[in-house]
Amino acid sequence: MTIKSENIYIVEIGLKKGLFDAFGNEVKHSIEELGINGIDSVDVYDVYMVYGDVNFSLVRRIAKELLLDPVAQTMKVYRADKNQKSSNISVEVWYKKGVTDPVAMTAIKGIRDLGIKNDIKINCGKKYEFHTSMIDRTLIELICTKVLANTLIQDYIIKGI
Amino acid sequence: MAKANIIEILNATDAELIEISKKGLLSLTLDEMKRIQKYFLSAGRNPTDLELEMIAQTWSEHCFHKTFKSRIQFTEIIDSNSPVMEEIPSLFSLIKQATEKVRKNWCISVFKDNAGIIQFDEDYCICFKVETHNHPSALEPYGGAGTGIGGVIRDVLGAGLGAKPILNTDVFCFAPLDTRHEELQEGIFHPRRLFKAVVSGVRDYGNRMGIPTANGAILFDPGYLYNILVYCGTVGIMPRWAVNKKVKPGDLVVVIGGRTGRDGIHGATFSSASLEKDIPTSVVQIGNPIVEKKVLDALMTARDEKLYSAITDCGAGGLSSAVGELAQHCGAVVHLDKVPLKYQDLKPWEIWVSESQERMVLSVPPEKFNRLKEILESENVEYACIGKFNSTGKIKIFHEKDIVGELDLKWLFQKSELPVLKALYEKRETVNIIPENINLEETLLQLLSDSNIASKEIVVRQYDHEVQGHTIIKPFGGIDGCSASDAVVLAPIYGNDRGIVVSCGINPWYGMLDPYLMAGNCIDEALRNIVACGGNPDRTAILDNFCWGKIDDPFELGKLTRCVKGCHDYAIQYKVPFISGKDSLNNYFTKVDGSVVSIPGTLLISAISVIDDVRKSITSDFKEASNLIYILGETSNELGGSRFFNVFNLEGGRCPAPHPEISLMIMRKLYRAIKNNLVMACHDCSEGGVAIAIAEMIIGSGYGAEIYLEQMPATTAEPVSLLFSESQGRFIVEVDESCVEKFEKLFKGLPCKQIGRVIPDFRLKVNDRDKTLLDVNGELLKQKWCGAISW
Amino acid sequence: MVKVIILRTGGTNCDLETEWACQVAGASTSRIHISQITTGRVKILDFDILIIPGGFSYGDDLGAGKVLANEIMLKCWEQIEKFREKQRPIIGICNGFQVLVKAKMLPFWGKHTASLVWNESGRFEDRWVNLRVEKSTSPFFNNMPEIIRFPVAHAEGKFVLKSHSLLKKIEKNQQVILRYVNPSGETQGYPYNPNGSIAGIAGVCDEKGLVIGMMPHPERALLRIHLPDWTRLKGQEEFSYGYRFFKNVIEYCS
Repeated sequence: MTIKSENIYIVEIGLKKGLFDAFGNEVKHSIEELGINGIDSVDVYDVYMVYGDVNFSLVRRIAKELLLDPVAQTMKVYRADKNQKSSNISVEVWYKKGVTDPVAMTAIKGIRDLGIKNDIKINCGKKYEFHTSMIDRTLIELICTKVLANTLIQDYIIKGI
Repeated sequence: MAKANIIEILNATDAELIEISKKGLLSLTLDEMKRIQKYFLSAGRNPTDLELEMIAQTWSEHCFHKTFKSRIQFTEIIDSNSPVMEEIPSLFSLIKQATEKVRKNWCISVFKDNAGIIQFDEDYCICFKVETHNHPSALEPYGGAGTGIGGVIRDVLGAGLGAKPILNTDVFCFAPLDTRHEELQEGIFHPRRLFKAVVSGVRDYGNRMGIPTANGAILFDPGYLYNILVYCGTVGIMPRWAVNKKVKPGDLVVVIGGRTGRDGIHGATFSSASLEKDIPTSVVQIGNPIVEKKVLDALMTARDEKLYSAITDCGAGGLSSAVGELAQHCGAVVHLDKVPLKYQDLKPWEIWVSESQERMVLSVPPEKFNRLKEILESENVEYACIGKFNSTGKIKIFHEKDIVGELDLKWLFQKSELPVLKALYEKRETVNIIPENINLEETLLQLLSDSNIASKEIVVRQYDHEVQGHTIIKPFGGIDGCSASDAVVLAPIYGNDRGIVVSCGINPWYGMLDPYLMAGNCIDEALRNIVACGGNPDRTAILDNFCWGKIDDPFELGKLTRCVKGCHDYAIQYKVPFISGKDSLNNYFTKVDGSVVSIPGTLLISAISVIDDVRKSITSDFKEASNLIYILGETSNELGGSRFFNVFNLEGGRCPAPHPEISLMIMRKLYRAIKNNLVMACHDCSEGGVAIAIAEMIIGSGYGAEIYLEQMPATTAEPVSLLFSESQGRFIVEVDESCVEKFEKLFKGLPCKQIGRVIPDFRLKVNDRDKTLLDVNGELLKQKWCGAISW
Repeated sequence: MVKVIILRTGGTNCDLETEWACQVAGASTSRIHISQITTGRVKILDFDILIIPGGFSYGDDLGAGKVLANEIMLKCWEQIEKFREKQRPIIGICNGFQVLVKAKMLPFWGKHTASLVWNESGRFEDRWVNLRVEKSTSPFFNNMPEIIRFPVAHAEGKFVLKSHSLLKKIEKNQQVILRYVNPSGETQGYPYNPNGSIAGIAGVCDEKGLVIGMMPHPERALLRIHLPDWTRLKGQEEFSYGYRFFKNVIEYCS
């Protein structure tokens, strides 16, 4: 099945400013263990690719009522084919097709609880945004394969370079 | 719609047969292919792809354990004497023999079921199983370790009519965490990444299952750079009536739990092959613990309502293996189109051998099916009735209207003629050196922060080790919870003080010197850990898990054979039965230049003991100043394979040798002493020797110790040996002055000596006659030991 | 006899020991799967006390407790509201606390004002903590020593509030029931505060004190031999702090 890219939405959930990002901190630590210095900080986001029988307002509703913790998190919903402007380098990591994605299964259950019966598909991933002045693509690739993703089961996409 | 393919083998030449096996990733030998050819010649047709897959899986090393079942011609050359030849009926039979000779009437089911089963009390039994998940964890450490623990939990759920898991254990072997990145070959993950991901995998799966992970070990050695080891164990409890299962013809074949996808295709055949660079994605699996937790919740209710007559887990080989095993003595018809799928484009053979996680297969009497459905639905567990057991002696597999496979079960499970294997063992002479002019204090601190000795608290606290509320002696106790326990003690029934003690013994470094002694030492260590917490050596059962290298190398097989012989001989001498075991062979890596790197042959002994009263159990932290410190057991100059030698980069040396007769006597008396409240604290001496054992007893106590080495019962007077030798069978014991008389009387005639006292100052002071050899502040000991392993 | 409903779902895993603790403290118990409530087979209102125990409901996949919180809000809210109106205790332990907070039951009913987020260490941690019993509106910690010990075992236990003024408000309202402290009773950093909760808050209640939630596990501190250092302790009393807690809750309802 091929899906038209205008019908794929991305939900990005991140921590509110001021809250300590434990995962970002750990990723930074692991990168430093690789011997790569020069990353000031890393922000980690949960990303959900929502597609199938959906439209923008439905995805927003799902994001707001199910995926977001309104006290501690912020969210962003956008169409996958719309480029997001960002001055930072970021990496998205997604499971390859066919790999068990338990979070996605739970998300579908949560969507049904909301009373939404549409045929919706979800892929779950992570997004890492780097605050750094270093723009060496090979180094970012190295970070991807050594820290962020296992290419046997995951794909990564580098953005912002 | 997908159908089965017919594979042309009837007229195939030998070369073609080999090619078919190779191309299909079947891992079948020429002999086996010929046997298959013969079967289908008499059937007058060619096999389907599904049939070949089912045969390959059933006969795989992983499911059939060919190496352990083969006859072995063993040649042993010890101490440059002339070779001794011996024929061994099979490694497996050696292990089994030991259990038969030890003969404990509380062994309920050994080597038969998914797990070994022993009696707990009049109403309950305990089962225990330990598995390895090495190859998958090397490729995808998080998913591999998670599905490793998920798999062994299912083993326990599928033992008898199902046991409730009450404890997980885990033992990992990695290369040192400070391995340089440049040393790594392409495609090999850095040990630190493996370490973190494996721990996280076990943590996330075990914690979500609500099973305490409370015993284990983590070892570091460069020998595990290419192949890590991930052992996962589960202990379960079940009512006595649920020990036996029997499929009844007419029962429904019901699969419950996870859906079937392309996960882990060829896992069974793959797990017996070595690691190569190109691995198909499909062998990697990610688990979903909540699905398994729901299966567990539903099964416990269904079992107690007696809604099924047999059960087994879907492990390696998937449905093929699970249904095949259940139908083995009767027969079954299966409809693959009824199996719930993750996605629709699976071929019949893929459905049949897929190793998708979190599935169990039940044999359900038709009249019980409705009630079972009710339970499964209320717990949100997916299920499907996929066929029926019958008494045809055949398994017949349909996909919609097509027959996609039909095999004679007797033929399929018949023991094939296994080739006689040649094994060779040559013991190398080693020199026993004792380094001179050593700074003892520095050495002690170095040893305390050796990653193999240092505290693993940073890992252990990530596991929920007290969920279910049964954990009585936790992995960490003492002041501030920084004292490590020798074993875990559980009281698995609410309101009942009867309990179990679980521990392990593992030391590959002894194996590098002599696998036979390694076996004895691992058994001794596992038992010591049990007894040190109050366990009963005469009510202890053990499990063996062998992880070995390239097994078609006669020298590797020789080491394994010698190790198994050690297991046999020492189990008999310690009078402990093996109740379950598993082997994981061919843990090796072929480098780019073609050279082969095997792991150090590694034996894990897991031990489980049943005790009357958990309130009698004790911990290793010193309890009160002015109490007396005793040592039990004799010390010899046995520094071979020791952590001490490792610190000084020394090879060889004399490997510690167990003394089963004296050890067992000491352990029996110690068990009695603890039971009679004569012991305040007890710790076994293992890696790092007496010095490390006493330092560890100090760290969690806030007190200190003053020790007089010349008091130690020993065959050596060398301080280095007295402090760091790893002689077996030794304990450090804290005794209250008021109990001294009774205590000493109990150990009369055995090596038992007072070697010092607990002092109020937080420090370790060691004297040899009138000389002070060591005087180290407790905070420093604590800092070195607690802070060595970072996350 | 006081009747306790222990509400569970896929991934709940402290239901059995919580049930046992309630029974020891003198209540009758039912462990009920939420599917029994949403299908109307069992009614929460038939019970005196509602406990949501620890675990990983739905794997905590979309944030700890979130999916179960939604399910409760969407499918059995009416019953829950009535239950509260009738002044019957609602208790959330660990994952249950996360559920209550995310279902807008704590610290203020009907509002998203707080959350439990990832431990600052980024790791799940099981350790025993010292807890200072605060002067609160909740009657369930009466007759307790000033400092008690329970274990925590969680990954997402860092208590945060939507705004700083809310902290003053819940403190003024006496809605803080437990704080992580060091052995001498002072709030401190890691490991005494195992997750980085603001002001060391380990548990809170609503204004009336009958809806309470806490990250630590009282059901794992029922007996003396549950304490991690019981082999060092001189006393011989059978029960520990957790028993007192359950006893208080059940006596309140008797």
